[in-house]
Amino acid sequence: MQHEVIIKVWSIAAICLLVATSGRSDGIEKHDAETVKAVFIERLCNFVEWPEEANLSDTSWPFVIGIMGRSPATSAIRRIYGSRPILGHPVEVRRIKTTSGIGGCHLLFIAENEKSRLADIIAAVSEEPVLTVSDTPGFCDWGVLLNFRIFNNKVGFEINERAVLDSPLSFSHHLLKTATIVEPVGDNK
Amino acid sequence: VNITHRVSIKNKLVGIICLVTLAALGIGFTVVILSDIATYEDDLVNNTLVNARLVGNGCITALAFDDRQGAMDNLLTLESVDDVEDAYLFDKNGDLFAHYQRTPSDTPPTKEEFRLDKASEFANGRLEVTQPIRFKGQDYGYIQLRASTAQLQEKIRDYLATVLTLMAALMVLAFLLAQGLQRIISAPILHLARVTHSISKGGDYSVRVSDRRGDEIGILYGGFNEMLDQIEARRNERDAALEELAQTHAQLKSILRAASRVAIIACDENGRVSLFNSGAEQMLGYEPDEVMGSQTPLLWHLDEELAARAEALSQEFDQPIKGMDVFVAKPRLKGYEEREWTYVRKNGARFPVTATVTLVRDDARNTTGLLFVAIDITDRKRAEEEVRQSEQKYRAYISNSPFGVFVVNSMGQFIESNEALLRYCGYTEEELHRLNAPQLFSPNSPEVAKAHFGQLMTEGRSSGEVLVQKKDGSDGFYMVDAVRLSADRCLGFVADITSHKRDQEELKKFAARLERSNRELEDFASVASHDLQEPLRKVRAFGDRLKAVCGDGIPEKANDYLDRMQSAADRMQTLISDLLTFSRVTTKAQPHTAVDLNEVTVEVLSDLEIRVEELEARISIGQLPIVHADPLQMRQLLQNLIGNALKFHRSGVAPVVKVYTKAMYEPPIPHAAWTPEHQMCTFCVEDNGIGFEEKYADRIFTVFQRLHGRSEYDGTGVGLAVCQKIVERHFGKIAAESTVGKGSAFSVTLPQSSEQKGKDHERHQLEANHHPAG
Repeated sequence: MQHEVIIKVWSIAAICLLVATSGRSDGIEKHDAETVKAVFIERLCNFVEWPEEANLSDTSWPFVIGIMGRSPATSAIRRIYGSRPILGHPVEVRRIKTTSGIGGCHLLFIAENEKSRLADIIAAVSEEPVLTVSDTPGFCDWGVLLNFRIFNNKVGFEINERAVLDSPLSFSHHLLKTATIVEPVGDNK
Repeated sequence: VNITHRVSIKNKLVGIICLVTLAALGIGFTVVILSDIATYEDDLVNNTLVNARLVGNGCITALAFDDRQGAMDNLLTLESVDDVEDAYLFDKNGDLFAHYQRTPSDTPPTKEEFRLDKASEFANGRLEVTQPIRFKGQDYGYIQLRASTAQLQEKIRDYLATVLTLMAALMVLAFLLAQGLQRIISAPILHLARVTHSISKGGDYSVRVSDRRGDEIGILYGGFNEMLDQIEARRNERDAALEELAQTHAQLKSILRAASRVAIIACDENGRVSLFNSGAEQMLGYEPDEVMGSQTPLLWHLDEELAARAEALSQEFDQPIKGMDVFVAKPRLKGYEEREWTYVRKNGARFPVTATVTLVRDDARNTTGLLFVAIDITDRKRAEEEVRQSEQKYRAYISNSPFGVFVVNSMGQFIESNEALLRYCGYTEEELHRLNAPQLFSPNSPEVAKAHFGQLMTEGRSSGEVLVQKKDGSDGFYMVDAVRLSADRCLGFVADITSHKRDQEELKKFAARLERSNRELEDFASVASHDLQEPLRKVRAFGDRLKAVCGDGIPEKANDYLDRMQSAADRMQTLISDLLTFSRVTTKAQPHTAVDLNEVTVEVLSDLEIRVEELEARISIGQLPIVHADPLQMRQLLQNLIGNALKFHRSGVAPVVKVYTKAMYEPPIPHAAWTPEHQMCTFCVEDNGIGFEEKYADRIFTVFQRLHGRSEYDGTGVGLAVCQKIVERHFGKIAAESTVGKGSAFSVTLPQSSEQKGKDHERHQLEANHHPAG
């Protein structure tokens, strides 16, 4: 009798575990891709080094995310970082309308609808310690440092290695290893 | 016996060396092997860890951005690492993210099997290494590698084989070396053992081992030789000591046996007799077998004496003392006790002894027994008793002596005194004994007398009269004779001569008075004799003149008166002359000299020759002595005596006079005037005359005493008085014996001259000369 109970308990536990494991294994597929991108932003920051002038040494100072344009991803970012910190800093999400408002941002998400101003925006931040992120194919070729793409039904990203090299920011090689490299530095274009 | 003790020293050394080598090699190699195996394992672990970390790091972003393909690509790089068989990548929740298996049959570990607590673990012949994957302080997941240990084990096997081979080779080498080198140590020791063995077998201690070595073996050899020296010396000493001991033992035994007058008895700590010598046998009558080991000395002690002694000791020590403790109590304090006891012989006879009880102690001062040395003091007791009685006797003599007896020490203090002495001086014994002999001298005592004591001390003898002040202050004369007995003891005898002295004084005074009176008398006699002669001569002269003048004219009657008067005057003349003679005996004395009475007699006879011839007397003279006397008085003495013998002859009978020596003898009373060599001699003058009655024998020597009338025999009665006076002046004696009608004998005793013996010349017989023929 008791033996049966134990077996039962173990069976339930195993089923729960299987369910949980299966749930985790295809977690990204379950979440919408926009949320994954927003979450990936926080993870990306771990592999990026900002220079001194970015004022990230003091954790009481906010980590400023600038958003240019509108897309489902921007609303996911806003939703997620309303309370979630990045690198220990409280996150401040700003809507950036003009390139002049880019100053003071640590990360700049550029939505697809800003495609027209993209060259200006890139020009404006190319010398600044601002991690430019987008989720529009082809943006990376324009000079955005990191661009989310969907590969094999999974959120991945590509990195403009040339732009990273020119930027005051430095990227961890781990990041480069996972990313798809656009404009590799070894190529002479 | 431990088995190691039986193994020879050589094998022991080899064994020890091999064992040490084995131990050293074993420990050394074990440490090296263990450390090497650990190193090998560490290498494996470290390599695996490095691989895990490298691969893990490569998977960081794959984990961060859910890149399973990237993770798999990374894990596949492990294909080139031979050891690693499986690799599992877990996300930070512990869920398997990606895995690689060299042999795909293995099932990947579940979440439950996944263990993070150990970085590395050998399990199931495999190494499991788990590493967290971190980047910038953030956990991204975990990687676990499973490495095969087959290669490691093979490596270790090879290594062990090499090491063990090496060790075996080293052991063989060590054994060979030990075999060779052990001789350095064992050879001299075995040599020593052989020498020792030969010494112990043969007993020859003169053997020595050569010790010219500098190491400890040399010291051992030296020590061994030294030990042999000492053993030899000790053995010699011991032999000598044993011999001495045997001698001493024999000597002691013979002493104990010889000590037949002394009982020597020893007891053990329980009081049992352990020694009983022949003296004890003789004294107590027991055989040694009867008492040795079974009896205690209480056996021959008197029970009542023991009880009394026990009582006394109990009181003295304030604790009950009984049994053998009676003997032990005192010796415990001072080591021995000497005491008189009464012993009881086996036959019950009792006798006194002096027993000395001594505690016998061992070197640690523990009492191991008692020694009794007893001497039979029966004889001594008897002697003491005799001495005591004798002493009592002599003490009684001395104390009852009418003379004072004292003993003083060199300071003159009185040590002893008898009753007579105390009576003399009036002090009690205590008072006297506080005094000094010189203190007793009277202040009136002459200095000479005071020197007596000093003389006694210096010369050892002193004698003399002393004047002593008695206790009551009066003086007394004492004659003291003292002699020094020892340096500090003088014995003296004292006679009280106070009264004697007084008598002597009075006698002296009386003698002086007498002397004076005698002298006066003699003077008177002499003077009277001389002075009387003058008127007498006148009486006679005028008588003659009256006869011549008147002649025939004088009537008959008157003439008769005149004759009578003249005759009386003549008689008076004779009287005076004789009296003068008598007095001259003392006044005209001459010094004494040796007088040969033979010669004197011859002279006297020649004076009396006519008378002898008239009377036809026969005179015989024997050998007469030489006397120490006044020669003239001797002549007078003999003349008077021989003259008297001729004079008082019987009428009609021819007188026979004998002069001879009667005897010679020692003086009955020595007198100061005589020298000791003077003997007395007595000679006799004997006649056959009329004799006299014995009762007048004394009277005849008195002056003017006559036994016969003047008509019968003329004479004044002075002759014998003169004789007596002469003899007495010579300290002699004159006596007369007589029988009426038969004759008289006068014996005269005079001191003999010391020249008597020298004058041993021949004496001639005078008898023939003075005896007329017919």
